Amino acid sequence: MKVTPPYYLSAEDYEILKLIADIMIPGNGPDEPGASAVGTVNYIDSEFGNMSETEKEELRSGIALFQDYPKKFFGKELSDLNQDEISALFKKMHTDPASRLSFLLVRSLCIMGFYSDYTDPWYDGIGAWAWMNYGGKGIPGLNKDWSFLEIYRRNKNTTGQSGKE
Amino acid sequence: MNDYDYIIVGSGAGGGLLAYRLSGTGKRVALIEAGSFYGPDSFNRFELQAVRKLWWPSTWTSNHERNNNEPTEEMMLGMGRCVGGSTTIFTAVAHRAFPENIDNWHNETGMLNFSNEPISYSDLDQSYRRIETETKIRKYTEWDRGTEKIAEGFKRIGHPLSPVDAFVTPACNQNACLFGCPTNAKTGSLVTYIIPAIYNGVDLYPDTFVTEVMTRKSSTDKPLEAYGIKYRDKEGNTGTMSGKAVILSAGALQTPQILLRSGIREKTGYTKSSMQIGQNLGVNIGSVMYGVFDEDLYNWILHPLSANISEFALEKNGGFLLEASTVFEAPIGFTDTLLDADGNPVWGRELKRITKDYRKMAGVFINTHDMNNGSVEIDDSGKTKLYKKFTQNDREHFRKARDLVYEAMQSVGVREVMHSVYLSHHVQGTCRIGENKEKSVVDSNYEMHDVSNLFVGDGSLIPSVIDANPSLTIYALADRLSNHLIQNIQK
Repeated sequence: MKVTPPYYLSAEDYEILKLIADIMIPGNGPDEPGASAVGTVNYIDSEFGNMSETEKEELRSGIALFQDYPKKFFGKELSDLNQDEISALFKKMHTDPASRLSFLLVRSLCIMGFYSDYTDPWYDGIGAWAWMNYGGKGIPGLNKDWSFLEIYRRNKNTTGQSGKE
Repeated sequence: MNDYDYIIVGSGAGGGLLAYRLSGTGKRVALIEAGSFYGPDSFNRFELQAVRKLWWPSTWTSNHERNNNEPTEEMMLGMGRCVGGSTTIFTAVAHRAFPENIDNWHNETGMLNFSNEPISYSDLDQSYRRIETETKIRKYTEWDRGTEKIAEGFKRIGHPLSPVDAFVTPACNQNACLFGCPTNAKTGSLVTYIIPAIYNGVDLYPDTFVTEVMTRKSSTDKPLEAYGIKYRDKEGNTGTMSGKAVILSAGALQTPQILLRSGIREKTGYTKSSMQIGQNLGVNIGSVMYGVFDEDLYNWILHPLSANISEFALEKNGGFLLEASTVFEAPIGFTDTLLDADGNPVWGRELKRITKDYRKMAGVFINTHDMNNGSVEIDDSGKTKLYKKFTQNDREHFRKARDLVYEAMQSVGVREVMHSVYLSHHVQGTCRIGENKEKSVVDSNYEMHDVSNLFVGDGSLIPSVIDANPSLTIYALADRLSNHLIQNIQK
């Protein structure tokens, strides 16, 4: 039986991260995967479990800013912002010294979750690398080891995958 | 733990070489590394694994704090954290510093050679030659499609690229430098010096973080002497290790932090030399300029930086070194550092549009001549802070370099260009070597001005920024230190 995340993030943080990841890396149907399709937020959740307490606190604080800044500057929730408002928000968060590192941290985790070619153990579509035509015979000997992620450790029996591919 | 003749902290270019040389004379040597030990069999070309296991987390400067908390140019600084240090994950470009660079060192800090004459290029020549032989440096001529594309552009505008000298044997058949070489073709510190050092009897301590150097009052003319280190292992256990001498080779970001945590300033009464610890950071501020072309280039297939143009590298000639071609070997590094035209990180539909064309890209790494005007500090909460002022001169270097790269790319039909953030792995200068105690931390024999038996053997030593990838010069400096210790101290 599939054991569903989040395992480590609070439900609230998980939902806001899921939204951020989808904004950062949108998809477009089955031929163009995005963060929500491959489960980028689940990668971040498992990686959160590997972090030190200091790192966890930095990420929690960063997520909180993504909730606070939309209210502070637009009087709205992040989920209610239109595309122009999101652009302005992200620019503000990147240039404001008070939020810059948090913005970059959350963005980096989204990028690692998607562009590492991570996909949920039960995902059946194409991942980032296949979509962007990265890899192939130019990288012999590649071994993607996902066993450091709790989501792969918990679900290996349901997928038949050992955490390595 | 045991009493050693030498405790070497850090296993990169400096530490690995020193461990090999000193253990070869029968001395008891401990080689301590904060990161883990991975052999070539562990390197699996997986970018995410390398990011998580082989690198220190990249650290951003806090330049805004020195700019009235207003936004200003920031840069991302990184180094390797594994046995072999940065030489395990560097691009293996093996160029000597320019003679003009080294001939300036005496002017900068009063550095002398071992005959008490001003240091000059010829004093490093023998060490350079020895390293070049031991590491099997060769011209890297197997250019991939991306490099050929860039080379054609520069040829058309009258500035042909040359093959780089590289720490890479002909066994190289893929592009995994940043992730650890899976074929042993890259002759970094791990392969060339550390494995042989282990056969010499060196005790290697991976996953061991040195928290401070232990010092006490000295009976010499220096106020303090070092007699060991304190450390924390992977499980969080703490301990001490004693030794007759300690050599810090943890790199220009970590070595000054160890000294700051050791309370050298406080214990010596804030001498001028101790106040130089962590100062004078130079980095060769870098940025990658990418071009998107019509055809598939697959610029991740072979060695990343296999060609260069060094004619503009010196300040008097322009102040920028160009190396080609790179797209960071895999998508995370490329994407994470990508900026839009306004200098903001790319996200959303625009990010997807760009990364869809990843295989059509080639990039030129721009390294610039910068000043030793940065610093590595530890704030009151114990947090590391990096500062590196971005000057008008730095902006001018990038303007000239980018104009030239654009001209070259345009001549071969570039569709679009974009840039990375400012970044560097060429950190140097934070514990400089020299006789002038107001400008240096260690004397010309590499020993701290204020602490006997405490030496520095890494890029921290470099008195003024060099205009080439620094690893070969770090090896050469460490080679001189090993000669000095073997010939003069061990007698």
